[in-house]
Amino acid sequence: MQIRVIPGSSAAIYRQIADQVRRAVVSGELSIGDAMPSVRVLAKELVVNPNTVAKAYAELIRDGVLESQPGRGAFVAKRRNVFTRAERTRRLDEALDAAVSAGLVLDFTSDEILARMQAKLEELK
Amino acid sequence: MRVEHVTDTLVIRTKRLTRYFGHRAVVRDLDFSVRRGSVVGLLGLNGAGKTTTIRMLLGFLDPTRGESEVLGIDSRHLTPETRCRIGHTTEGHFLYPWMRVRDCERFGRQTHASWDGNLFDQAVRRFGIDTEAKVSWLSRGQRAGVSLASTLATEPELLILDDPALGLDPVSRRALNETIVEFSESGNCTVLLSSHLLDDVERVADRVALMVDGRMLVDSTLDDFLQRVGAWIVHCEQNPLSQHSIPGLVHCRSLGNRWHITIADPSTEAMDTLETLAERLEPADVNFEEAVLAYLSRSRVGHSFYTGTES
Amino acid sequence: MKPLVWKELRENLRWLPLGLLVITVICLSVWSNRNGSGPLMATGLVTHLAIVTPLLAFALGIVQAYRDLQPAASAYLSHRGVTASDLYGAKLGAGFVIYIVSIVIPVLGLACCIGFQGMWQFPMRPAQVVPGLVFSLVAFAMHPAAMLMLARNASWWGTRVFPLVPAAAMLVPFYAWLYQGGLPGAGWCFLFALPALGWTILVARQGWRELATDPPASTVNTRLRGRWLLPAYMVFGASICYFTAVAFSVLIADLVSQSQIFVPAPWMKLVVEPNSEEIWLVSQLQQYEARLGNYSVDVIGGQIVSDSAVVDAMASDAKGREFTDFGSVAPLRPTYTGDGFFMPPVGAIGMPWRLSYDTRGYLLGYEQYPQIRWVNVISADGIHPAGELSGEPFKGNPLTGWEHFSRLAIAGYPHPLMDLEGIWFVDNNPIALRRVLDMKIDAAGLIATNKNQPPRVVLRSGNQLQEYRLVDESGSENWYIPQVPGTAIDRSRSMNLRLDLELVRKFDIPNELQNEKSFSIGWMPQNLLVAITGPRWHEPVVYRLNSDGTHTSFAFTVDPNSNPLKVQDKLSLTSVTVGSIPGAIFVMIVAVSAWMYLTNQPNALDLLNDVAERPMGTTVAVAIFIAVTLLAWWLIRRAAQLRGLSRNQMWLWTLSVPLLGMASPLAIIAIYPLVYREPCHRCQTPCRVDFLVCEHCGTDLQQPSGQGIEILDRDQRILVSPASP
Repeated sequence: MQIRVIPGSSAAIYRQIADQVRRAVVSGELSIGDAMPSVRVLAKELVVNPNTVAKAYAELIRDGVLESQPGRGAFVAKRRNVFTRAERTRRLDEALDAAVSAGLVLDFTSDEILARMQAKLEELK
Repeated sequence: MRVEHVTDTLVIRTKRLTRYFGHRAVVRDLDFSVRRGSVVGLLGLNGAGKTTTIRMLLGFLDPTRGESEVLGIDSRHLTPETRCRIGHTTEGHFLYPWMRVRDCERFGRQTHASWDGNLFDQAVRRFGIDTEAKVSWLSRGQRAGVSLASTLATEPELLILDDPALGLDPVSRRALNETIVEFSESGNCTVLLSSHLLDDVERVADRVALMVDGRMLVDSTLDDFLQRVGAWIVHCEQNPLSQHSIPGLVHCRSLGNRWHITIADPSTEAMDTLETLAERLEPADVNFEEAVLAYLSRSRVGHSFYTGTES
Repeated sequence: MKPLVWKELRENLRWLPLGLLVITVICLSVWSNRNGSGPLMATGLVTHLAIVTPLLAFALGIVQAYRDLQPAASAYLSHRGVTASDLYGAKLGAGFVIYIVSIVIPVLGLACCIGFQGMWQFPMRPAQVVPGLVFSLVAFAMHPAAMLMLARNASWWGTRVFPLVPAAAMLVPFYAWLYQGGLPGAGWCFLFALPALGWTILVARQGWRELATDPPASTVNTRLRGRWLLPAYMVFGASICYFTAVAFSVLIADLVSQSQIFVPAPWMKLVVEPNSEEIWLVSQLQQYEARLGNYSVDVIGGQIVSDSAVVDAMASDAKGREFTDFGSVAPLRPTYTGDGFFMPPVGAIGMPWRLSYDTRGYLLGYEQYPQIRWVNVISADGIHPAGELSGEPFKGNPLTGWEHFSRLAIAGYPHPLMDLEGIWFVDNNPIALRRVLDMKIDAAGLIATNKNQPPRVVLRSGNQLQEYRLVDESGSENWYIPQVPGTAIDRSRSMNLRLDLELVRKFDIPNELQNEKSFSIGWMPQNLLVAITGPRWHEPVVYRLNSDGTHTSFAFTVDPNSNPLKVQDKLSLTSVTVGSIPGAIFVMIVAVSAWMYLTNQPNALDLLNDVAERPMGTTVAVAIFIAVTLLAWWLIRRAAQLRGLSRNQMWLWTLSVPLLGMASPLAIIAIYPLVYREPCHRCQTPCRVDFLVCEHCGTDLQQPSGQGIEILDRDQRILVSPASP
């Protein structure tokens, strides 16, 4: 899994790391039970402050994406729903808002947008 | 083998540190502290007082009033043993041009209380330097490497680097960042790093200290800093500040017929004032570089683009 | 320390060839100037080195200190396990090595050249180079002074250059002492040079340790106890500056107020009138005859002297008469021109060689043509060939007799060699040394008798004055032809003359006169007159010595108004500048005068007389002194205010003003840095920025910045909720 950090963007670095890990888990690049590189190793690879990596990992563990096994590091966790349905719905709406407005701006019709979305979901399965 | 010292929590502490050069207060009433294990990025324009502060911390300059402590010892009375525990590189990575790299190693070995030649060699290899070369033949990046190698070889607990990436090529810059990250990963060692390269600071630092005109305006973790700064774009014909004053305003920048306003710790009062003065108001993204620039633009000295649009 | 010394040497060794070149050039130029006056070559070498070596040491000090006082270099060097003293010591040591090597090598080469040549061409020995070397050692003091100058953070327009002043001033007396030559003198100089050098080194070390971090004024102004080396040095430097300035101004004022044309000044003298055997006091004036190119002495007034009379030195009684002057019998000085330091050989009328004296007790004879060559050695028992010093040595420099017998030399007659135990003549035909007297001699002189007779020789031996006459081989005094002014001296008449000494009379010196060193003697056919001045110049005493051992004496007074050379008391620039002399010098002068009076030295009360005769000048001087003191007090008040001195310190400095004059404010400016004052934000009076609270109203100087945009988490406040919606 390749994580790329872009300093100077509007997202903080720990947020970028966390988001990319999340996406990797969702897309299947990281399967359940995979070992994550330790904080030190990842910090050295990305050339970022270990505290930043630690903070990203802490957030992922708090959200249930990763679980920490004492003495052995962090592993991809079984998905547990930490958020309430309302919260999950809100997050989904946020993402959908962005996708829909992007599509409209690009002059696609609602049907075309829907068709593309379905194709994507098929891909991921 | 060096004896491990008792872990103090504050490796650097200043109290009302002030320095006047003639009539100018270059550093004014600085109360600054650094905890063990953090990597602090010291930011500020040239002339903001960063180098003066560093020189006072290391005892090369006496303060006009106030005091400073490093590793628990008053800066004016640093002993040679304590100096061994602090690594320092100067702006421009000063080395004697007639020395060869191995002479630098020998000089350091003979003048420091404790020295590990292997660490020196490792650092020199990481920067890709030939030990037989004379310092005057080295590029700037390689000089930085030798300079860093000399500081790391004493196994310091605290690194104070004054603008280490100045003029460095990208490869050396990455090598520098890797060195800093590796140094700080144990959590017992601290780095105080002064730099203009905001990207690198965002990467390797976990705290930011920002000095403007001799005063420290920001001293917090990077994330808190970003969270507490807010920015808006205001659509308004003339300068919105000409009639109203916004509490907590950091900087107001003109973008044609719009204005980019940065506010620290935005309060409800500030939001209300903003809403009254503009037709349209949209929130703007705050990234590290923009936030720092907003603060630095407040300086009355040291930059040539004084826009004169503060409250 | 070793790596530091190695680093310093490696960095600065590049200057060694330059130093070697400069000193070699000096040695070469001195070598080719061997004919100069003064102790051969030693003075030339000392003077050349005196100009160059302080500059060398200064330049080396600047080069070593400047680079490592720049912020980056200083940080690199200081941030390691070395103390500031180590750094200073390394710089000093490396600088000393480079300096000494670049001086010693060429100078020793010069000594070898001299030694190789020996005394065959000039009377010189390798020890000539010693004064030069000793001076170079002392001149190294400029190196720590230069380092101190750079370490201090003062203004270049102000007192930055100041530390050089005491070091440079210290070199001046050493130079004056070494210029005279002589190995014992050089040895004493060496002994004194070591503490002098050590003092500048210690002062510069203290300055380097403390001032290189640019300490703020408050630490320097209050905690000086225990760190007195540097302030004492500055006071010394300020005093030297001021004293030199005053001395110069006095000299220049005196020069300016002198007349620019030659005006002969008259003087008073005791004389004898040969016909009537009376003693007169006359005023004489020396005139210069431009036509003849000659000086002549005219009598412009005078009166006969008798017991307890008041004599008018300008009376017209004396005009038109002929007198014979009193002569002086002076003690033989042990002149020092030896131990490897010689004067260039001096010529003598009637002698075929030029002679030079070696303190081992021999005269060395040098021939001039066709080439300078050492030809013989003259010792007390005869003339020996050159090559080694043999024979019985003299007991003093026999060439000094030429001063006592200069009147004979001027008249073109041979003059004898005289040392403490005898008198010799050197004859020409055949060349031989002839002893004419074997006796202990303490003082000697030539006394004129009358116009046509040769002068008589008067010698003092123990407590006796003996009168001799110079006779030729036939025993007569007819060989003497008095010289007519304006005519050339005919030297040929002295070529074959063989003079001898014949005792005429002996006199006992009265008890009261036995401690006098030199005598003023008048010749009379029946007895000898000895005149001395008493405690006051216008009350002399004359003794009449009889050949049977008895004596009489009488005293008389000179009318002070008849003094032809009267003191003019007028308002002059000199008295103004004299008034600015600092009190310390006055105290010294008074102390010395008191000592002279208490130990009965002659001329002890001259100082009081001088002052009493110039009331106007003295008042002006006193008024200027008071004005200078007041000005200095005012300056000290201002400086104390500007530089943050405490009240005690200000009073101490004020007390020192009468002794040091304006050197006190100058020292304050040099020692204490300026203190910056900002208006306090509450009471608006300017208060010192290096205090934490305002000294007038007591409020904390730290202003809340009032900007309201700080993001600080050191109080660990609860963070405000995130900003961007």
